[in-house]
Amino acid sequence: MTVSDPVVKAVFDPSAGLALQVPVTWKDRPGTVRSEMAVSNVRALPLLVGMQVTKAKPWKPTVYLMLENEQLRRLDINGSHTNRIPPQERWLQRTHKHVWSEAHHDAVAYTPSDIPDVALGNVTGEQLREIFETFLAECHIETRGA
Amino acid sequence: MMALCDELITAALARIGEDWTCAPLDSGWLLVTTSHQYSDGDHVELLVRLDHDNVEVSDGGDALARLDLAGVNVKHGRARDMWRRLLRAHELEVHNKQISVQGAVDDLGWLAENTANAVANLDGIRLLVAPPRSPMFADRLVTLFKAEFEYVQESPQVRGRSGGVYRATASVGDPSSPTLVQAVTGESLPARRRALEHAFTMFSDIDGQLPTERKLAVLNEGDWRAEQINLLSNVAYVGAWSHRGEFLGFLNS
Repeated sequence: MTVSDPVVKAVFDPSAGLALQVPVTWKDRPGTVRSEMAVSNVRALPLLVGMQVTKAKPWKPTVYLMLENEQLRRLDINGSHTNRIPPQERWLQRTHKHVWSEAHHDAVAYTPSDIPDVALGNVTGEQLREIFETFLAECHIETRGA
Repeated sequence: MMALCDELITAALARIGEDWTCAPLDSGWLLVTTSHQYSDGDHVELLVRLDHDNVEVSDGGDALARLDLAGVNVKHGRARDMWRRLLRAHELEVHNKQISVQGAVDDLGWLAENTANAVANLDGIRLLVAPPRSPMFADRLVTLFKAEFEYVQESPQVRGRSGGVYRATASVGDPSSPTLVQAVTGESLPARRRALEHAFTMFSDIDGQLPTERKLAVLNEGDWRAEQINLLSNVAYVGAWSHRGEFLGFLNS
């Protein structure tokens, strides 16, 4: 299966029934800590939702929804980014969210609402949980038993 | 013409200068945002620490973390070769999963610029390595189970009454009494027949050790001969990918 605009549209259609049904578990990896879970959906697409925290930059976690290695949505807390499309909006150590499309892949971002602020320092587990849950809600991923 | 050159260089440097920012962190490091960008438009950010006349510049682990997230493993194959070659070209090293370099304060500008340039180049490895192949049917089945069940063991080993050892696709459900699952698929009719016969042999051989309600064969989409399915259903519950809800219901029952 090739990821395309129609496939992405189908993923975010309310009929897709996206749900996180398994507990959130973390893996301590060299350099990072990562949580990644499969997302239940009616089309049985191999969707993964995850969160990665780089140990040297804990204030800059990334949350993503991925399909076959393409990040359909990626939330970068406190990241720096410039859109290459007009008006070339720029984020400087500021939270932004990448949106995948056939035309631009993951190079276009916007400012999501409701994502809690994180200071440039250590991040608490409670903050990570709040960020992750907000991301799930924005992606219309229901939590059942997670 | 020289005036035009000067104008161009001045404009380019001014534009680059707008993107470079620096903020001190409580930890004593400086967080430096650079003008270098990855293919997704994110800017390369560095951590810089000054210690008397020496300076340390690090990517904070971003390069490896980003490649890892993109499914690129720099320990094997072409990705490893490119990774090593680029690190050598930029005269950088990896310590604790972070690309870093140390040098004299006088060289700070060059060290930061070179490291940022290297990190952006290294990230491009993701575009050069072969795209991941489409997941096999067994992988799709395992991902489906991982979305639905907390306990999923991939490729469990089981021993039959004959002494033969088999690798099933997965073990799913209650960890104390999981259901053994075998994905059954094939590109051609003979391949499908062989896959079905393998599932029949495995489930028959472990018959008695596991009741039928804890054995599940899942057929991929395609043409399957009814008599073979009937035979398999004597030793396992037979489900079909096209009717996923039914075998998920079986596993939940």
